[in-house]
Amino acid sequence: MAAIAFNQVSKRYDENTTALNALSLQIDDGEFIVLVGPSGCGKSTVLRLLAGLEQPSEGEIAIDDKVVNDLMPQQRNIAMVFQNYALYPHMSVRDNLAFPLRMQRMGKQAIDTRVNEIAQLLDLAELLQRRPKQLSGGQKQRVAMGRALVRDPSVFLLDEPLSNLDAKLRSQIRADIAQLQLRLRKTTIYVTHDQIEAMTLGHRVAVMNRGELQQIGTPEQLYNRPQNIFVAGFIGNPGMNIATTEVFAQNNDLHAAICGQTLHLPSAVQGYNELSQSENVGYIGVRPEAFRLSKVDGCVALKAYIAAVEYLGAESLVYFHLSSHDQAHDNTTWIARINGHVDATIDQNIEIFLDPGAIHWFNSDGSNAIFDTCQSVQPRR
Amino acid sequence: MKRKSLLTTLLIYCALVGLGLIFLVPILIMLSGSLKIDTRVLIEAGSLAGLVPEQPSLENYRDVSTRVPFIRYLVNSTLITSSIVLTGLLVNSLAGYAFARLQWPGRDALLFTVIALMIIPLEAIAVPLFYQVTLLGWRDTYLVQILPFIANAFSIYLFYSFFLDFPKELEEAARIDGAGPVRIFFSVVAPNAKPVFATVAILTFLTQWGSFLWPLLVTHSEAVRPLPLGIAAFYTLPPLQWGDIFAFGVMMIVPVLLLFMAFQRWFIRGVATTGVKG
Repeated sequence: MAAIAFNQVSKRYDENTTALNALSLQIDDGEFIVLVGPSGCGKSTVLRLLAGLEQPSEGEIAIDDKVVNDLMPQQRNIAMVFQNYALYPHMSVRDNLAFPLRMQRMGKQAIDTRVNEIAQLLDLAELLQRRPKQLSGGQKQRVAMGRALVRDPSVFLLDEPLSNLDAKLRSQIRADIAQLQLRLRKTTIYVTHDQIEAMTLGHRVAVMNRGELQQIGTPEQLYNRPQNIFVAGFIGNPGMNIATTEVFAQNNDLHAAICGQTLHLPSAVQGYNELSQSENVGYIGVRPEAFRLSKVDGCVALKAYIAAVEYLGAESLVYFHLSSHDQAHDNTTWIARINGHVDATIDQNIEIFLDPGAIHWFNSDGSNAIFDTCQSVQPRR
Repeated sequence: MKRKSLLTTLLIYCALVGLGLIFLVPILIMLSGSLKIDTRVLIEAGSLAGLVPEQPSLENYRDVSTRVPFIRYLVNSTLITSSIVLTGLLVNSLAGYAFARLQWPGRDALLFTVIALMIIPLEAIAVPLFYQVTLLGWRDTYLVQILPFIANAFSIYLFYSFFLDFPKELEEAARIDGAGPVRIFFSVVAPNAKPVFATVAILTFLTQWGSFLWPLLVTHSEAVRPLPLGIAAFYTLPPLQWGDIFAFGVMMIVPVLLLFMAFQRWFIRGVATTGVKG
């Protein structure tokens, strides 16, 4: 078991390439952390630095309060599952599983016992004599997990372990990984660009972009209280609708100008006080499911016209522009997620309804205008 | 993909058959000449019909072992070539791996030097090398025929280019599993680099098996001389018998063909993965 700390860790490859910038991150013993972000955001660099495959340019990495910057990978008691599994092609599954134990100079008897235990745990007993090329993608994945688990590491690193699998297998193995982590209680860091994996697996999720940590919190916090526009847009599928806005007071009431329309904000709306005192609000964010096509109490109406409708079975995605079709409008396309089938045609003028309480407000610099931090909420286990 | 027309296919096949014959005919002449009585060899060499010996005989093969110490030459060649191939595989693969994977001061400059060395032929350095081995007192030994050819710039470059493309994740996985650089090389990298090892082994074998100039310079006793000098010995043993020379030639290329047949699968894959041509 191990707690991990990144303290102002940076990784630069040259003057112009910064893979990671001043990362500070505390990971509790036994916690399951998911690092998520677009390609090139630095999430895999975090794993590689922790594994000892690369050296930080600045900062300290500690495992159980012991700085490990100068330790070799094999001295850190970590295990890693690679994106392409990195199984040794010339060895059987048994030898792949036994390799880390042989490196520890464990006795043959003890190796056999341990390999059989892991094979039992991961349902690999039938495959022990096969070579990696004789295995399916899912089986390879299990062998890679087995090789990581076999020497009982204190930290378990997974670098996009499901990205080479088909969708069905991915969801099945995702559940298996979650169960395994729950059972073994190993400190686990999981890197993915798939937000479904991030939201379903992580006790906490760290969102990264351009080498910087954007926000860390529970999946609920990330979804409901994004700290900035990047997190708001990245988490959720489709992402949050973002548009520029201007908040102003008129007749002792607050209003927001959005795409040429004015939205009246009732005083009961969340963050009203902060909004009334701030002069810096620059963006509005609305989750697609916050829109309604029929009037609901407390909702305000906006004029819109439909750009496209995608029927997905249980729900429909309605793409629309704010304003009437025959009026001038800006080009922002908004997306509403509506339950069931939507009977509408392209270019049809509609009224779309929005609960002002469901609006997210962001400052001109992209930071959340209402919530400062989400760190205080306990992560789920 | 557009299908080739019948005519194009026919032309390509004709060209390939022609090319194949250019390579094959000298070997056939040699094989057929080795089975002829000595007086017929040159007389029949000019015609296609002459390729089939009228009265095949193994006499030339018997002659070879009585006129020159063929077995001695064969043992010498085998010893020298296999020593160069085996130690060369070890030394050059480790050097190629170090150039491809390890970080050390002066690496790039040294790699550039190694690549530059590929264009220097033996003939250019034969005299200074001869002087050097004479000073060391190594002339007329096995050592003098082995040592200068173990480290080979072309082999190092082949290994280097193969290891550059070797999946890094396998090495990283092994590092995390607790293996050091030497263990990683021998337990993970080398077993998965059979094609390049086979390619280098065959190319080195071919070069060294036919090596003539250097052994001629540095050896004078039959005890250490290899096969190519054995074949040359016939020119100094009158009468000049072409049948014997052809028989010697056939016996000399058999080991090469056997080696190629044994490793051809790896060799072809190696040629494909390392970009060796010709």
